[in-house]
Amino acid sequence: MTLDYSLFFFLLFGCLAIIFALGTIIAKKLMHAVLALFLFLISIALLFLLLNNEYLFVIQLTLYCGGISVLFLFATVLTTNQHETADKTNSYWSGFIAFVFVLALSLVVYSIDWASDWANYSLEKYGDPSLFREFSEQLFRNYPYTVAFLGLLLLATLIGSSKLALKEEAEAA
Amino acid sequence: MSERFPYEDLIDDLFESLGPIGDFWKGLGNSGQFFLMSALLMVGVAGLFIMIQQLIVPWVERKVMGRMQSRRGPSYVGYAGTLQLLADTLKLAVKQDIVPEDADKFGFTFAIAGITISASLACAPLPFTGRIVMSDMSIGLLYIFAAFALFPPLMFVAGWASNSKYSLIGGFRSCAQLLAYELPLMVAAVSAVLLAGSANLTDIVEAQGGELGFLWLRGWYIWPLMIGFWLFLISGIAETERIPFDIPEAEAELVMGVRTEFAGWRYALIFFVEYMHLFINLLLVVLLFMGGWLPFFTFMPATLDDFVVSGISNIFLMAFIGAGFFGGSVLAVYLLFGFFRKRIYNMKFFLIATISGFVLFGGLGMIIDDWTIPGELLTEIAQLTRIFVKTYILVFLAVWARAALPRVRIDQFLSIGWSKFLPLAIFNLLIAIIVAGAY
Amino acid sequence: MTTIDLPIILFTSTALFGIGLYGVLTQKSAIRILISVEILLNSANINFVAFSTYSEGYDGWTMALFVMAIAAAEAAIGIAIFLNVFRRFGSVNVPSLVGLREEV
Repeated sequence: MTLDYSLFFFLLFGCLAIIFALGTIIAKKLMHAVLALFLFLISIALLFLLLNNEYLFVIQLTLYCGGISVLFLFATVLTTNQHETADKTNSYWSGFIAFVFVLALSLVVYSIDWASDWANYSLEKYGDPSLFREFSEQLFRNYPYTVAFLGLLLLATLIGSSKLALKEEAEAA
Repeated sequence: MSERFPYEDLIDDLFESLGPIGDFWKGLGNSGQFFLMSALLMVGVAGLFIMIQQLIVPWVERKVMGRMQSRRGPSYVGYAGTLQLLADTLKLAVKQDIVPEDADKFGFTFAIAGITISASLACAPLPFTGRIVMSDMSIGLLYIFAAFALFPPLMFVAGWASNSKYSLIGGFRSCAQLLAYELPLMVAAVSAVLLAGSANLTDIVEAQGGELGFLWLRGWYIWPLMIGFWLFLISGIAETERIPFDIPEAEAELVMGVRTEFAGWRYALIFFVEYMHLFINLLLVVLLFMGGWLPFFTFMPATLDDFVVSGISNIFLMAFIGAGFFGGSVLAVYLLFGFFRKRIYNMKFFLIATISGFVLFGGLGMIIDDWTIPGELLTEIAQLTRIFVKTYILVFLAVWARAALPRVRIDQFLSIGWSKFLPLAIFNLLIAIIVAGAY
Repeated sequence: MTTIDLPIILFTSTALFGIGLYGVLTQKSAIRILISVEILLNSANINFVAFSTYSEGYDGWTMALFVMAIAAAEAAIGIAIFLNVFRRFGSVNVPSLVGLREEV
């Protein structure tokens, strides 16, 4: 296994993702946890880019980093009070459970003979201009109802969450 | 091996002398080295192109606004105040870097760095002509939106980290406004993508080269997508938070909004990013709806042939080149020394230089017999001229709006964005679908 | 062309999943729990994208897209609920939310 640039950058952004994910747990201020989440999402987007999917890279940046982290930032400012702490409950047992889970998953990954099962992979489509078009075509050809359902779901979410957030204010007024 | 990138031997030698870094460089292999070098080149050229605009756009804005308000605008540093902005930047750069004591130090720096980085990244896929494009990626348009999509959280963090009520309110407003106008912006852009059948900006421009079938006009997307054009232009200006829409930094209410606590170099960066954002949005309007570097009428050729200069025209061409060269050098010297506030603008000297250049090069033109100017070069120059003329017309429009219009209120503006602009953008998308289906 | 082996990707996503799981199990603040859930979803997404890329199909990418949309919906609804919880209880710390009925 030679260290060429895609592997180098994958390891770099993978390590960064792990560090930022730890940062969301370690950070004392809730806002810093959200900032760590923001950076974590960007590193995941870069991992998508290295895994040949420019389209998901863009979606991840637009939707996650641009949209969801704004939600978290707003929620942080609107719900934080002096009592907010980084306290944890059951951290001993939970850490044990998480560790065992990771160990089990790693063993599964380790025990599978990837070289023979997934030998025929190739990542040669990198930067292919037709990829975007092909992906979109496949999306709407194979999953038209799911896409429509997702649209409905997101619309319901938009209406529902704004109703939920505004309900109390309407009662108070 | 010989077609990796220019000056490869020089760069290889350079890395050879760097020890472990040289080993890393070798380990990257040819493709990795090419990737890294093209990334560096991309950043350099794109940065240069956009940075020059950052010096011109604010100057144009201040001059035009000065004229509209019966003032003269900047006129002291450089010739006609052209270098005023450079002087301002230099002043801000050498000022003390103040971070408020109660500010969140990490967030304060993080927000500025993030805003600057994401705005610089957005320059990468911008084409200036059919050939001058730093990164011709297949999803260039979406990539620009993705880079600008990082703005709302970063602006909010900048407001929160300043630990000042004005900044925080400014951050909330900025975030809400950016989110509300991002959607109409994207949907309006998607209508152009739908007609062109590609999200690559070069493809989108090339797809507008056909005939409209009316008055020898080219099929720019402004004609079928007039609504989308206005939506994109207004949302694009709204995204940059300039005066008709500068609710997040309304001076009378919020001092400077998010910018309140930023001083020195940090303020200069925010200022630059604002103009960069404006310029990129207006350039996108030109690329998506106004045919980019394509000429207006169909009888004007999109590409030019080789231009052969001979005989008398040869002499005149050389004479004009000489006049431009000599006069330009004198003008450059004036600009340079004007920056140090030495008023040496001497019209006589400039005239003498220009005329002597005219005569000298004209004489040279008599000796040279036959001269061919490659058509590719002429095409390139014509395309650059067209795209910048179009963009600066839009810049003038934005400046005009800034000088002439009063500020809107935040609740009005957000309700316009969500309940008027978004449905209109979707209506525009329907038009695009019908047009795409008809052709 | 590229030499990113599949196990490396899977180990990365496993580590991220472990971190997310630990966060979900231990955090007190509801917003921090939601952050950890986002980490879980993203680590799953890496696997979807990786397998899809390596098998030259589009199903995994599509699934990752759906996961993102669902995550957006989940975060929006979750945060709207937390805002209501904060208005009622004055805190979003999960251990303090013990009363099912509002005690006046």
